[in-house]
Amino acid sequence: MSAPTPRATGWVAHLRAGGTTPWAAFGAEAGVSTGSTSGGSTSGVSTGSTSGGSTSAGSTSGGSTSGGSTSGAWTPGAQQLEVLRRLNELGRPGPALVERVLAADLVGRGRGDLGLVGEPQRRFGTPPVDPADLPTPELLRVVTGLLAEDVVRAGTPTPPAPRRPRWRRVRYRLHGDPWLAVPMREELTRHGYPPGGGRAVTYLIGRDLGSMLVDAWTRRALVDGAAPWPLWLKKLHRADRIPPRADLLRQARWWADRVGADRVRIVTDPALVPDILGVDMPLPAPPVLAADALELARRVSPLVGLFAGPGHREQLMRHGLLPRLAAVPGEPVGVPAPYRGWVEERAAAVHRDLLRGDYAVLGDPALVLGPPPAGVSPSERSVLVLAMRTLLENDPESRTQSVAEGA
Amino acid sequence: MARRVLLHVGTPKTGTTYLQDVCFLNRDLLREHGILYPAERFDAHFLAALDLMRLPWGGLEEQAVGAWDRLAQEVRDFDGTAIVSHEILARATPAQARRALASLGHGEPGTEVHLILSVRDLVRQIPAEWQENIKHRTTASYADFLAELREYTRGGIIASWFWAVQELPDIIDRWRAGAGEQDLPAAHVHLVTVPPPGSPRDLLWQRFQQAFGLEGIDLDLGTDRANVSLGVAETYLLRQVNLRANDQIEPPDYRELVRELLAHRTLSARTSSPRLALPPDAYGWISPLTDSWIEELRREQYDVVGSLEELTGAPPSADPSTYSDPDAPDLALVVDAAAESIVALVQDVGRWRANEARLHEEIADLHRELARARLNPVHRLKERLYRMLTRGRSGQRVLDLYYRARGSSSRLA
Repeated sequence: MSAPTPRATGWVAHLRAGGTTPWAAFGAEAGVSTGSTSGGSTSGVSTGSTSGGSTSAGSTSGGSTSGGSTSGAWTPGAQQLEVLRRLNELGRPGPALVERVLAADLVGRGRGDLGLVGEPQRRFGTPPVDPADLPTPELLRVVTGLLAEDVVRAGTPTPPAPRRPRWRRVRYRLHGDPWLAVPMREELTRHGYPPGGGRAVTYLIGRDLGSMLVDAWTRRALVDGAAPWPLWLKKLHRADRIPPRADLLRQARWWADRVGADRVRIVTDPALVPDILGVDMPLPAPPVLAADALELARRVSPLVGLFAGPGHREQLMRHGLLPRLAAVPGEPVGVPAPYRGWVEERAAAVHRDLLRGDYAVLGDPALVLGPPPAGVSPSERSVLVLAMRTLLENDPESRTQSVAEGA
Repeated sequence: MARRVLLHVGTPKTGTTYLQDVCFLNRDLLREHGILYPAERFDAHFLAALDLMRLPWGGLEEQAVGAWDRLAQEVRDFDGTAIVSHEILARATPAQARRALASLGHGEPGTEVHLILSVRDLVRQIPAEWQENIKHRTTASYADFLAELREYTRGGIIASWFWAVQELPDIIDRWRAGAGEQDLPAAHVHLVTVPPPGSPRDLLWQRFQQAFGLEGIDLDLGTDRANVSLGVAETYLLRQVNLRANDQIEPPDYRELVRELLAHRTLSARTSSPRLALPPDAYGWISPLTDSWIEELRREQYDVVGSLEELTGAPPSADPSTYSDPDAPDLALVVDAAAESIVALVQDVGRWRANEARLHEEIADLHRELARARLNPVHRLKERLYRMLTRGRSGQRVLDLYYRARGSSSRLA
């Protein structure tokens, strides 16, 4: 692999020191010698050719990034360097975070470490780039990997020990929309009301279908891995089906087969649950996440699974990352206009089924007809900014811009 | 500590699955001959590679946590020759290569790491990779696939992966860069070339034996997990299935029914249909590229088992009428393949139905047994007592006490 020029090593040092000058402007602005590439040109450098669709140009940056030390005779990849430059724009990353970024792996599919355009390149490998031109997903590969490491390293707070089950048992099961039901179940258990018990009644919690679709995707994005929201919705629309987690009637049939229809209730208003169960305590409502925060969680979640191993992802995501993301301001995910009509049609079908009387319904059945939630779809650029900001906030030695400015 | 580590890092579509299966099948015998193939399951090295490269893979990666370190530890604990093999290791970055080499003991006294690549000409690799993509739900046409490969920046998912695992000088360069100051001398880099079409059937295996030091060991070669290839019409059909089914078929169903049942067990048996090939006009840009690779590999003086000339590949026929375009195949052949697929699926459904009927019979038998058990007076008494207790609150409290005394596992979920 070719040794980097003083321009490249100078840029790395500049970024390490908190610099924000883009690569293209660096040589001229800083007056750094560009070595063999006199005058900043790329003469004598194989930058490849587009003729004949050549694939022989360029090379990777060529250097190892392990061990945290990156001051040898090579430069980190363009992706890592550009992330560091943008972090410097957002705040002041601490020295440990700087080294982590420069040494970061590029997680997931995509190009390997890329070289800097204008640097001497070998004949083979992926062509070099101007880091400023890198598409956002390439930069997200660096940041989400680091964030997932943070999530795994931070772990989850130790939950308070649950109360012993009370003498007055409440015999219930809570299912339906898992985004609603799981936190309620956990809270009830913590207060001495574990689910189950002889002849328990199964309550299937729901709300308007549009929100339940958002809930189903939210849970998948956090815990199981999911396609991007617009794509996920498009697939459901094409197949004209609602997912099992948002399908109250399907769940009701499943439970009726096992415990009998007389012990299945559909609850269309989650606020009724404490009264229905006869417990004198408020039950938690799930947080409404900003669309960008949720998209960030979706991208980080599989990496948390990758780093933490089976059985840990849900706890780490729900109790580790989620509380942080819940505080992020922004518009929530909404049902885009092309699908609103379809959601309303499907909700009307659910409403008709509820009125048929096969199962007891607690709450107004018409609540499933509520208008699909308005909101936005995530934006990649905003997700990147949020991811970098979160990375800075995770590091005790780093400061975000607002804090740095105020200092 | 392993004295010699043979690190096989690709490339895909060069008989790697066969080699790995033979090694896995014969791992006890190999150990008797002082060769370690550290694997408790056939995909152990795949999981280790996912772990090393932090590569999500449809959920499988969660099983991979720590897999590389465990594998490397086994290698380091072994006194002899160790084989590590997976083709996706071709995609490792220099940083990942450095971690891998260091963990295997590279640079430590008494340990010698050898990098092995099995390699095949692009004339065969390109159509084979497209087909592999199609078998993994890709919907890109062959023309689009080829266009993406020729795109200068390699920014797409297909191109970035393809060149990362196929561009031979770059793969070796990344691994040697990973070796860093410890150096990986050219004499420790070995290329096993896949023989051209028409060569003796076992020639590639002989080359593997030579490169991996397996000669003279009476290995059981009985494995059927080699990758199978599809014809033009069959690949077209599969792509049409992807176009229609990607939205609707869950990954486990796709793996079992589309890839295994349709592609591997049904469509691959149709060997008389035209085979996938490189379009004649593509040879014009493949040929100089390959020449530059050969020149570089020769200049570096790597050890070659086979011949670098074999990387040139056979030029496609000059007669364009002999080329069968997988984007516009003979529709009669496609219909034929579709009909066979339907038959295979119907037969499979028939097997499921028979299985379901058998299970219903078993359930009916169990119900009958349960009914007989209920005739037992003690059982009847218990049931009556349970019904009585569950009618009222105080009875349920008694039941709860009983459950607690027995342990919570007896309670209803």
